[in-house]
Amino acid sequence: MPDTISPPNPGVIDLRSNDVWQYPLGADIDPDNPAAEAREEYRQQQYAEQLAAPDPESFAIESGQPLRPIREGAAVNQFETVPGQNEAVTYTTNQGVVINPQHAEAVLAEAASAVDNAYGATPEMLAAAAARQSREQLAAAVAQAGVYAPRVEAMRDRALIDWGMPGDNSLN
Amino acid sequence: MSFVHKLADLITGGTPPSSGAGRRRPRFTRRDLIRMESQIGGRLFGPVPKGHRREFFCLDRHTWVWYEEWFDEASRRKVSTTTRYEVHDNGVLKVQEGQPYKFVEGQELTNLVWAMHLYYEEVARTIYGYDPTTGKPMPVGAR
Repeated sequence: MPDTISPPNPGVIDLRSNDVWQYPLGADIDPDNPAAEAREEYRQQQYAEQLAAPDPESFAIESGQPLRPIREGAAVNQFETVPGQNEAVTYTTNQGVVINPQHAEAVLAEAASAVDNAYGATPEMLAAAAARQSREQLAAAVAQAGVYAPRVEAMRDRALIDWGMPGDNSLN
Repeated sequence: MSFVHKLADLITGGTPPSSGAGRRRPRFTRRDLIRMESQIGGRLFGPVPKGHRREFFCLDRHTWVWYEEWFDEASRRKVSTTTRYEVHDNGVLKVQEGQPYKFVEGQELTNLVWAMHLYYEEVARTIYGYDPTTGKPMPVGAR
């Protein structure tokens, strides 16, 4: 038994403690003590799981998957290469999250897609919007073109009443 | 000389009998009015090349016509081309002899609509004496 038992304060590592939560890496292992060996195994497992756990503030980056913020509502609003680090890319969300994934080129493409998604504008949507705008402009121009001839005709009709030949139908 | 007489002079090349007691008022046909309008319309697209005759006019409520005529030195004969623009609900159809029908679009459509606008303004003011903005008759001195 150790001489003293530390209070359960996970912020403090007490080399004399047997408490697994305060166990320093590789320290105080008694190979002949099955309990200590079990504690070490458990600690290593916890450590491995901690390393494997995703950072909830970061993006999910998996091969072939589009980048998107894990946190609901987070949107990509910036991505940039880091000077001097060709393969490192910094991503910033509107919540101030920054990560540095590798494989810049592929990730950049995914990030661009993520930006489009975040703002609700995929290339298809942009193309559709452009086509819609073009159609609206065309419709407006056609509508405008239809305005003038009736006006001119109305003035002609009025003029023929005032100055015209009786019963003129020279073009009708 | 009154405005109407000036118009008549423009069409007939001479001064018609004046209106008033014992005199006949000038009378115009629809064709006369269109001929006057087309002279204004032909100038909307800039200077007409020497030897060319250009007319652009509104034929009816749905149709505009561009007519261009010139003397072709190579063939030693007069040639002409007529383009008809038909305003439909779904577009402005361009009809030319020997050409497939096509809907006008892009810059050509923009230019065409602009020409129609100018045409309306010019003929309203110059020939019919209407303010194109309000559609009301203009004072005689303002025409």
